[in-house]
Amino acid sequence: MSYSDQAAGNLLNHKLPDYRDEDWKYTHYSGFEHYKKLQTSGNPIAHPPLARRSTTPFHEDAWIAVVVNGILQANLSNLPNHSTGIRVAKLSEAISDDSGLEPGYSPGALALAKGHYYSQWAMAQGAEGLFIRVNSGIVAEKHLLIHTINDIQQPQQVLPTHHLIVLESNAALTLSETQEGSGEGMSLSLQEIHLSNQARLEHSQLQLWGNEFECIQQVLVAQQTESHYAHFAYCGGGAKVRNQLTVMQEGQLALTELTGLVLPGVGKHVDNQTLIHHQSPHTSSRQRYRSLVAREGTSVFNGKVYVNPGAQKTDAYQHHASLLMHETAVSNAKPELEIYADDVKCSHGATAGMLDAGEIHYMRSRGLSEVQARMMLQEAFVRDLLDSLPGESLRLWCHNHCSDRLNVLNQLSI
Amino acid sequence: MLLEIENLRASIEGKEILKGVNLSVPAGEVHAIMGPNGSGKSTLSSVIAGKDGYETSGSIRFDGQEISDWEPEIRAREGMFLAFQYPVELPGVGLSSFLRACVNERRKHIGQSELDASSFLALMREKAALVELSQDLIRRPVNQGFSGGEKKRNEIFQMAMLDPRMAILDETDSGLDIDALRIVAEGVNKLRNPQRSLLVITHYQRLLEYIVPDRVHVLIDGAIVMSGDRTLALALEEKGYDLVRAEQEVSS
Repeated sequence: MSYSDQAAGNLLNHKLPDYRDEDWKYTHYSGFEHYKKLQTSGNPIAHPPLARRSTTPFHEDAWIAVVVNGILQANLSNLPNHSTGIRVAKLSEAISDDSGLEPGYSPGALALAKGHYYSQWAMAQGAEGLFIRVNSGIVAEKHLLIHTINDIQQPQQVLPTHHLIVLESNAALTLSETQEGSGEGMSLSLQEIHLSNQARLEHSQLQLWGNEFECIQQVLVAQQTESHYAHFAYCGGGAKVRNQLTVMQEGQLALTELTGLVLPGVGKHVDNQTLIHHQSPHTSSRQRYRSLVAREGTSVFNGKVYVNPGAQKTDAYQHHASLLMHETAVSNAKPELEIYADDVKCSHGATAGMLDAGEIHYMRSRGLSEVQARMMLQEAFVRDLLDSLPGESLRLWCHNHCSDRLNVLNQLSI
Repeated sequence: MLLEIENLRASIEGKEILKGVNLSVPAGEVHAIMGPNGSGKSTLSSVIAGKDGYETSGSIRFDGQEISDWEPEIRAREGMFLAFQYPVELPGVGLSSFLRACVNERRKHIGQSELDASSFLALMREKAALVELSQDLIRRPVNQGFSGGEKKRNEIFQMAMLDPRMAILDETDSGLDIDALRIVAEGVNKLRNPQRSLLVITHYQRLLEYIVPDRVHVLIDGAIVMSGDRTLALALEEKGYDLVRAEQEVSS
């Protein structure tokens, strides 16, 4: 039975999540049944020729994969050739040709067991996407940028994608994604990532959704011994966004670093859920999320750390801080620690607050406008986080995008 | 007249603090305001600088312009400076980038070109030396981890950077030890010039030994009840507010 048939079977045992499910209590998509009908009633996803190509935020010489509505646009991309030991292909191609996939790395290997309702649904549709593999021992000499564009043809259209990313042992890759979509559509994105022994992946996702666009994303990562997964989430748009990041630390000495910068728009909603499952001894995780929430906006952070009985010497750290830009802004933060080993170090913390009126007055009395003063304090709030990003051009781009967005959000939030 | 205040009243949460203040400070002069605790000294400085939250009436004219309705940043860009009694810490905001933004806003406002990085740095070095502020402090976030004395010196350093026409020093001497008081006062004296006026608010006459005022005003219960030359400050220190006030009433 194919993975999509299995996923379709799984769906029969799942119900659509709603506010009664703990994981979905802050964010649910009651209209999804309606979206789904559009999909399954003879309106298959059309894949238009790409009329436009946004400029990439990175000046560096990078490999670029342009993906429109899940389909790799080879003619618009600049892909690594075979001699590099890195393969970037359509997922369907990788499944059909023989060079493809060891059983442990087949599509659905992670998501059939761990995927939520929407991930099962994406697989059941046979969602297209990318297959990326870095061969054993290869350290990618350039960044790989995935430029994702969701181009809807009708309102309430759902665009599912499914990427499968495999780093073999001792492989290393820096992967950055820009995700764009506008109009009243929804991106439903599933990514399965396998990191073999001592593999290293630096993964940045820059979400630049339009104001009416929705997104449900699940990234599932399985880490083997001494592998390193660093993830940076920049949530800079969208009407309602739900990101789920699930990391299974299967091998000893696996290290996971999750960083998030969350900037929901006025009246918009962004939900980040993380789960780090420490399954082996001597594994470490470090999570740092910051939210800056505009007028009537909502940020949700739910960080779960699960330590298996045998996972001694686990070292887990989690911190979420939010700065509310207006009295009507909302931040919901919930750490969940479930620890079944007795020799571990797990810490967590969360803060929420507004800027201090005395600080703003002091700055104004030296000649700065209220917006300038607020922005300077807000940028200070996120600076150390941005400074820790890999690569000068990514850092600079994020600094600039964040400043521009804060400027707009402040004008609307004062 | 650089600063002219007429019948200034201010109340906060229904409580009247200033009850008709009249005060004129000509360009180039140093005026001191003394008064007991709770007489409204800090409120007066806050209201002149444009702090939110007060209900005010009356008139504040700065170089002939009525500024009562101006936002605090516009007053600052026009050349009004308030050295805070309790300087505020700005977590994570670097002192030099903060000051560069402030200085350039003021320069833009008065039609001067913005300073580039190297001329700004040179200016900072020069002005930091005035109050013996170390380069290490300049690299830190504003007032974060500064001692009480360093915070006060930092206020005078910022004053020097912003080159104001009118500076109000709100109890700049409080919390300073003798050496720090001397350093701060010497810094202020170097900034005196015929165009710049100072309004020095203090409890004690000691600061006025260093920064010698042209006029001394006594603020009691929200109004200026006496004015005189510097000898008034000496008399106050010797005899206390009540006695000096009583003597004045008798003689008038």
